[in-house]
Amino acid sequence: MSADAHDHPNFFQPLPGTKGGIASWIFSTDHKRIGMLYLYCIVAMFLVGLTLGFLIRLELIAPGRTIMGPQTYNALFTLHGVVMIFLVVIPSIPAAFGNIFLPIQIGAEDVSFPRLNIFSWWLYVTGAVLAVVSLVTGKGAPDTGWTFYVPFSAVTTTNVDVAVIAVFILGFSSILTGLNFITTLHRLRAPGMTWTRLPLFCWSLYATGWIQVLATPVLGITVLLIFAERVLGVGLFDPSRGGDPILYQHLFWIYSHPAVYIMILPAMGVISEILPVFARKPIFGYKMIAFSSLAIAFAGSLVWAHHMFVSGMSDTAVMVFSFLTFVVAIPSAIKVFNWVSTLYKGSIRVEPPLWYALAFIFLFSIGGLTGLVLGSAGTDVHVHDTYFVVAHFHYVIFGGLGFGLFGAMHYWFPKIYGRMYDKRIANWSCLIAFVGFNILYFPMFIIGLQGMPRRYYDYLPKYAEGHFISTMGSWVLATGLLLMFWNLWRGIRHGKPVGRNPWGAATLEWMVPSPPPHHNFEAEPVVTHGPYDYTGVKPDA
Amino acid sequence: MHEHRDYEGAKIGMWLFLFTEVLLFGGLFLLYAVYLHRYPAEFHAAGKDLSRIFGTANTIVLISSSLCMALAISALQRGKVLLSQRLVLLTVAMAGVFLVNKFFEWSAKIGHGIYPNSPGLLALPPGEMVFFNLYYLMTGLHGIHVIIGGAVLLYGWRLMRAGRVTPEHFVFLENGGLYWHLVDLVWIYLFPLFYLVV
Amino acid sequence: AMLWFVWHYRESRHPVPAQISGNVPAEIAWTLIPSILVMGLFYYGWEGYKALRTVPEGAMEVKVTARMWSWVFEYPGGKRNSVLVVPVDTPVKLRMTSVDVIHSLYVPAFRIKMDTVPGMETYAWFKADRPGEYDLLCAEYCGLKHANMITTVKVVDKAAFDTWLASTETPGGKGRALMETHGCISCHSLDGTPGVGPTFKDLYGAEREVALPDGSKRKVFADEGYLRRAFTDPNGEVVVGYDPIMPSTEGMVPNEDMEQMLAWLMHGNEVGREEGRRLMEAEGCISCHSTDGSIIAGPSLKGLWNAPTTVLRDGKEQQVTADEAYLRAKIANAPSLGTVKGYDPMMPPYEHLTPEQLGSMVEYIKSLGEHAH
Repeated sequence: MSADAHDHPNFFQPLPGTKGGIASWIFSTDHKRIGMLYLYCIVAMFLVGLTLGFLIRLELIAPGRTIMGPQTYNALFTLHGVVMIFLVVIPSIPAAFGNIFLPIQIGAEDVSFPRLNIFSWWLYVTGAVLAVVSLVTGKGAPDTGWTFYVPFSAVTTTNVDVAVIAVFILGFSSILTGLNFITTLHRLRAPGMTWTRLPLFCWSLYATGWIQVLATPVLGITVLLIFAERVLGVGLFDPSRGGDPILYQHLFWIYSHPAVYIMILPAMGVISEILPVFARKPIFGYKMIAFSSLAIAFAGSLVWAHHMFVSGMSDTAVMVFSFLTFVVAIPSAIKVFNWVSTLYKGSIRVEPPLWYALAFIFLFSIGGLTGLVLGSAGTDVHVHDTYFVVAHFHYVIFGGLGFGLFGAMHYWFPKIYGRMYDKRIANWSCLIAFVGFNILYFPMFIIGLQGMPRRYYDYLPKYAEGHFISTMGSWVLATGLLLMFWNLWRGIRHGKPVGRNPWGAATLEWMVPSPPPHHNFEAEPVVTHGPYDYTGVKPDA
Repeated sequence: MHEHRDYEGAKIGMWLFLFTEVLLFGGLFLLYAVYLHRYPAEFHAAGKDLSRIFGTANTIVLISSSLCMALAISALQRGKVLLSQRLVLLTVAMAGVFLVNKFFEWSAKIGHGIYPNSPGLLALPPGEMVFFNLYYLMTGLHGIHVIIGGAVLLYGWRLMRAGRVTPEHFVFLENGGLYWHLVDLVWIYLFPLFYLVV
Repeated sequence: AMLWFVWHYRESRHPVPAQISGNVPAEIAWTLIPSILVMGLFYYGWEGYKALRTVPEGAMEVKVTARMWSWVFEYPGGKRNSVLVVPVDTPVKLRMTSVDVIHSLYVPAFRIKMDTVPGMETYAWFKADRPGEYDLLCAEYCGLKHANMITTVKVVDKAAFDTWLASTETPGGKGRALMETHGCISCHSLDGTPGVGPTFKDLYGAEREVALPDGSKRKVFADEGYLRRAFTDPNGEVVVGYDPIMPSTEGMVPNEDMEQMLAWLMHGNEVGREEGRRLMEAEGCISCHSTDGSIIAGPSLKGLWNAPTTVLRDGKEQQVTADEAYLRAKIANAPSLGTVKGYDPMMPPYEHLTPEQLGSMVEYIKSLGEHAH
């Protein structure tokens, strides 16, 4: 532990005069403790999702039945989706790192509504528990896919009811977090922390917060309607009762497409933090990056129906949504260009977080470019609902958000724990995961183009080669990730103690001791310079 | 940790929350709009079956309760705590009247065999089925909001009695009032959509 | 460029970072250039999409019905098949719907995909350039056997297609059709109902009492010899209770036609069975009901005949026997008969089947073995 950490009890230790223990965590209103609770839950859920994905790949190693029957397989990919999307990806960076660092980065003592904050963690846990309960109760685990498309989700006898209630509760948790962040950013910035001095991570959380607040309620009502249809027979999407199942898809994607940006924007924020620190120069085009976050949040809310080009909606709608989809590509491209130029003529120190950030940019770019193939109506008809889509969104979400999350873990690790993990192992695990990732998902583009539909338990022999390579890749990827988690775990206990600012960053969280004390700052900080002004900032360890 | 009071922040948070509530109903209004466009004649026919007397009465009750609530807040701001307490109770009482009214209206409809999944409903033309399904869903969801709103206001009343909501610290009651206005507002849209659609 | 920057500007080589925080012309450039590029991509994508949605004049229309987990293709003229047979070089318009959940018709080889949605009709079109067999898959997740909802598009030359389309596959093949052509079945029913003449049902091998022209009566077995005589000299031996009004087929019916009809009368049951099997494949029954005793989504057809069955109907349990009446009603309109205990209520009604088709399906089920008591 570094020297100055002893002056104050840090947030891992009980407050002076209290006992500590588990209750001091799960009823804590301290944003850092809540963030840590989220972080551990998310990592645990990620491992669950990873195992499910691993089993799916194992089943697909050869055509026909390998290790499980079709019903089990269908339940597995549904759960993989539900766990990864609702329990890992959506909360991941905002709820964990956002909670821990957003208040510190703006010089605040806590978020605006600390009690609401712990309440949303409790909602998250309730949702997670319900998701697990849905596996073991009723007539078996849900087998609808995470999209819960009607009429299938209304007629299947598996336990969809509990699962949609879980999703509803998780959505509520997400709304409360977003609402908390927006209010915090408006009200609790320290003196001198103007909007243009706000770290880009905060900007991205601000944009994310708005999407959470605006889009999630629509998901809430949509899953409630499934519940109403199943339990009460209110068949608003049932064609035999005058309903229209395509309207469900509209409502669902009105939320779930913006949700993609809930997933990716915070990761973009993390990357915008990491790159300048290791390039030792200000981020290129601060305003453009901040602005493009908002532009993505706005335009991204208007493109939902590009998931539905072959659903039977009108051709005019296809044209409009295809057009808007291309519009979203522009701010994303701007971001990538700005990141790359941040590296230009920098003085680059290559450390693990930077490797993860570079992997992010590379994988996200591939995901983004293949997204154009899907956004273009003519080509989408062919590749829609094939493995091409599976590959595309794994590149964007796992390659993008996932690597962003790992980058965040490696970047803020020394701040949270006051120790450093083994950097050499960290670099290796990043490389192995990166290679495994590409072996896993790249062949999917190819078999997707050849016409392999997704959500297939079994497949025609002509796709066997691609599936086999893909499964091999899943082993490499899993190895890399396990190595990474093991290395971080080891770092918590045996890592070398470091000081306040091992990377030499200029944002406020690096000005406080590591780990941060209970109330973050001894005195309210006054901000006098921008977040990426490295003049005079030296790494101290 | 020092006592942290940020009225402005509390109100921003509340407005954001109200926003999410509006959007929650927004999804249903969207469905209503699409289906009205698809089945104008059936909506017209089904709308005639609803009792406009019940609907109008409930609209009047809710609007007056909203007024009552606004008066309660301004009374509190002017230091008339007792008057404010009474006005809040009156608001809650009106919420109760609304619910009782709604209960009778629903019972009458259910008595006629028109409720979700009922044989009577399934015999209707598709457009009318959609109409009644939407009717039960939207008024049901609204009813749940009336109950929640009433509970919040009742809690606000207790806080006032306990001296935790005072003429100086009235943000809880103000936010509760905002929520109540939202409940009222949603009804003001529901009423013409279902009862006056003819 | 990214990796090159990382290498080129690494700390040891480039210790002092340049303090660049932005460059307005560059920002404008990389906002505008991608904008123009993506708009171009959008345009071509849209053009391609329009082509997929514009059906040429005079396309052949095929009705597609998707259900868990099979496809039925219906041609103009009413022919139904589970494999999509189309002529080469002819635009084909598929008018699609679904009877249960959303499916999606996907033919990778022709780059077409369209969801089939219950309660509405969607369409897609294609023109096959080369004869051959192509995969047709379901691309929208639809439950247990989604991955097996695969069939074939068979592209054949035009002549072969016309022959195929014209070939009738009424139960019993040609003999059965000839019975209709020559008007036999207007007097002799196929299902046992009495008509002007005795029914054909279970005729072959049965013992009958006949009246001879001289008024005397005797018993005969309806063997091949008797049936032949019944064609050529119908009033020589008339079944008791019927009038001797049938004209001789001599000179009216070509000999070979008579042989065909005779064959059908003698082996009609087996033919019916075969027809039942073909129908159950075409209608997709066997994608849920196995014929070997294994359980897919519904009870196996093997050993189903006369099996005692518990049915949940309106929340109550009922005991029924899977006899002819039950099976016919169940196939024709499953939802009205409740659900077999232990299974999900997902079987759609098959109201388009004729009583004869239902009969041959039941024949087929019978042939798969009776329930072992």
